[in-house]
Amino acid sequence: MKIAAEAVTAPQLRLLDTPLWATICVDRLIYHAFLRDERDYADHLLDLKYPLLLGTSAEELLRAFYAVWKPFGDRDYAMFFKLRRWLEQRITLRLSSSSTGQIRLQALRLSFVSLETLVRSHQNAWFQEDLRLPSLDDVQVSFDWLER
Amino acid sequence: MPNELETLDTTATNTTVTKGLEVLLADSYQLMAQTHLAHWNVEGADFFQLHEAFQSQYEELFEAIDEIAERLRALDALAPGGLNRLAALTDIAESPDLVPAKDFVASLLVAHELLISNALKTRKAAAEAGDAETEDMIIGRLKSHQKTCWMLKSFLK
Repeated sequence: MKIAAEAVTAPQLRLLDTPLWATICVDRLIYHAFLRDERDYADHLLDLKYPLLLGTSAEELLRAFYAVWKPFGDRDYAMFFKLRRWLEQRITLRLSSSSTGQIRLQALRLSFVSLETLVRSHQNAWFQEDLRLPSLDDVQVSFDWLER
Repeated sequence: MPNELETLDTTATNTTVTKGLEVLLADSYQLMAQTHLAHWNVEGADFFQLHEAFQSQYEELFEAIDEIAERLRALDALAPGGLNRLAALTDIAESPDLVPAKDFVASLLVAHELLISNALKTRKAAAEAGDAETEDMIIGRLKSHQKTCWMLKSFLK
């Protein structure tokens, strides 16, 4: 099918792009996934679109992103790179220790194989650095929107 | 008295055009620096081909930057210089020092696309100002960036 062979292109990524920009990107991916009859891929993309539209929690959006990015991301690498960068610019990582009461804000880097690995890696880094922490699970990790 | 049909009015010309050229210069400089970074730090199975491709890209950009700066001078404007000043004029983001090879490619693709989107506006402003020489130069730059985008996109498929 001629149209299905066209490259999936994204609107220009700029620092101030809104959730609408990301939604348009996901819509384009869905359109091309349907044309290529990739139902499973399209279903995962729809699961990513709704958190974007509904303005849900940052963690829920990241879970939906990982669920589609890891198995399917290589099919549309450039588009997923742009979405990844967009998420990194808008979501920050908040670490807090139950025992010491300390709070740290860190930039989000989506370079891990799963959200669980990302969380574990940040818990581990702090645990290794601060001998007062009783366990890895003393460090709570959450994700916050920088702006919406 | 100068013939209006033959002489470009460089005083009115046009701050829109010269401001656009300043951005083009800054975007090109940032893109050159990012391409150079990718040339140095790229790793993996595709190292040799990417290392060489990035080198030819930053060398081409280096020559283009000189041409853009000289066009600014021909329009009686000063070329902006200094890394801080140039960084303030561009929206092209810096890449981390080390990322997977495909991320270097994707990051440069995003940068080329951003540059193209800005250059299209400046090309239009130059056309509206009757500045065919600037328009011609930008068309040449657009062709080069579009070709590089095609190559980078092909690598990512």
